[in-house]
Amino acid sequence: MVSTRDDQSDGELLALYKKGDQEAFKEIVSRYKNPLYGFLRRFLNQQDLVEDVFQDTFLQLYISKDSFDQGRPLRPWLFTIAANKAKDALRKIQRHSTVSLGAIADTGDATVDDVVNILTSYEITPDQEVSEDETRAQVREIIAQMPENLKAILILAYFEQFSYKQMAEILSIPIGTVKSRLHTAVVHFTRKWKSINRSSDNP
Amino acid sequence: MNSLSKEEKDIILDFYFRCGSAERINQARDMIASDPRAADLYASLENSLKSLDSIKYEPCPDNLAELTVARLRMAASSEQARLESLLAEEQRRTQQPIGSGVTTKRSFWHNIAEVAAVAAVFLVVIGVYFPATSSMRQIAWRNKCSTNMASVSAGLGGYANDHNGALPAVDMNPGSPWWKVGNQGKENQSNTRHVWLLVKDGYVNLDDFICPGRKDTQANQFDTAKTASLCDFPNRQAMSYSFKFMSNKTAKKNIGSKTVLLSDLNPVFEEALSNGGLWYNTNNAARILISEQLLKMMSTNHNNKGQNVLLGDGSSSFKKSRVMFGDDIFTVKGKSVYSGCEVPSDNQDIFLAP
Repeated sequence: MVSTRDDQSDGELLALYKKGDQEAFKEIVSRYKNPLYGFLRRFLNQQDLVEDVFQDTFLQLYISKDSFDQGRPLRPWLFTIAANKAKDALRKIQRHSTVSLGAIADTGDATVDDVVNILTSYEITPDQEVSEDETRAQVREIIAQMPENLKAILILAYFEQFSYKQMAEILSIPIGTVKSRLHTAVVHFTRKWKSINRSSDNP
Repeated sequence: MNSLSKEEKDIILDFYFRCGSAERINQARDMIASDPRAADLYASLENSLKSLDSIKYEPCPDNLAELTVARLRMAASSEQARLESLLAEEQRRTQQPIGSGVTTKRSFWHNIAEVAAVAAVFLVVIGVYFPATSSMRQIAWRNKCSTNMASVSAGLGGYANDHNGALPAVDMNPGSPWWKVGNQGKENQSNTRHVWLLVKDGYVNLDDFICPGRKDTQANQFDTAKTASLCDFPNRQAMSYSFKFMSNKTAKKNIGSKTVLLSDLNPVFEEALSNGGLWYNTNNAARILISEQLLKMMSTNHNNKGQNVLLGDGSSSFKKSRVMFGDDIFTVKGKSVYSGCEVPSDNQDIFLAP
């Protein structure tokens, strides 16, 4: 979190923000622009969508400011809006995509044992010849192809390090579902990642 | 590794994602430190997911943040405007009942401010519009006046054709009071009697002797029979031009491009001839001294800006100076005191009267 005015809490800023205080706008955007941008950049992987959703998120925060409880932390609220906006944006462009939004329903929720099994199923040998850029491209591709609910929870948990409770709020799902879905996301990613690297090791 | 219980595995997974209670986190730390199976599971997780780190952290571009703030400001200001509009509407509604307790002082000043604003706009519009239209009217009047002179010129041409090349002239004794316009006596006195012949004989309409730039003139109220019975213009208000002196002797002389036949009313004697002036309704004109101011005046027909002048070749034009061909057309050479009986000093002296 970037904070340039430590003397004011998120709640105080939001109270000013509600009244249309222009400096408060600026400060809130300044505090949350980087984590929000980072999340959207990973989740959407399309610059134009990222920028649209980024702006829409703050606008939505302004529009729905009256429904927000100032006692609650602002960050999960902001990510809730961003996640919903991002999902809406993806739905618009994924109508013709091969990846079904309901893909997660087919895979089923993974258990802890499933995670451990995939982790230990086979070892991958790090390929020294694969450049960092190639690795990044592969990872981006895997994430881009992930069902959106798995993708969202993996990014929120791994990169943003939200708690289960916060993720439950952001994604509007029970905490139990958060855990099982996160495990499923780990299984999904690990399987894809291992399959790519194994095939490159053993053509 | 398989010997780890489901709960233990769950604790390690939670710890990897920094989730769970403080107690579970401490528990996970202890397990990883003491149990190789737990450490292996944690390492496997790290090994599998560390590739995610290749997606580097990207800070938000400054322009995107600025654009977002700008959009937020716009949203806030539009909402503010909407709220103010609603508030104003509400206030207007609550102020409707008479004596409803709304302070009249604020309302009064509010009204004053509104009236002042409207008045200011009105004045600006007048300030811009009126001079423009006034100037346009002046130009239109000059043009109409010039048209009048063209009609007089055509009438003169017609008269000359019918009278063996002679312009209209009457027998007039030198020294007669040329200012007595409207005097219908037998004696030719006014320097308008010869011009009247053009009207009397139907060469020029009486209305054509009225400059549209003047406000003190009278519309023609005489029928043809009445006009034919008169010897002069009915009165001074029936014409607003000044004319060249013309006698029977000069009427047949060569009239050329340097002959000034008529112009807009001579401003020098206008005051003396006006109602209450020195020469008004008197038989013996008092003497008037030509002041510096009178020497500088242009005809009042066109707001003291200049005068239309008709020349002997039939051309007419608007002159911003009263000196033509080296001579002041409104005065007699060498004269500074006038009693209304003066005549041009010689053939070269241009003097238009009354």
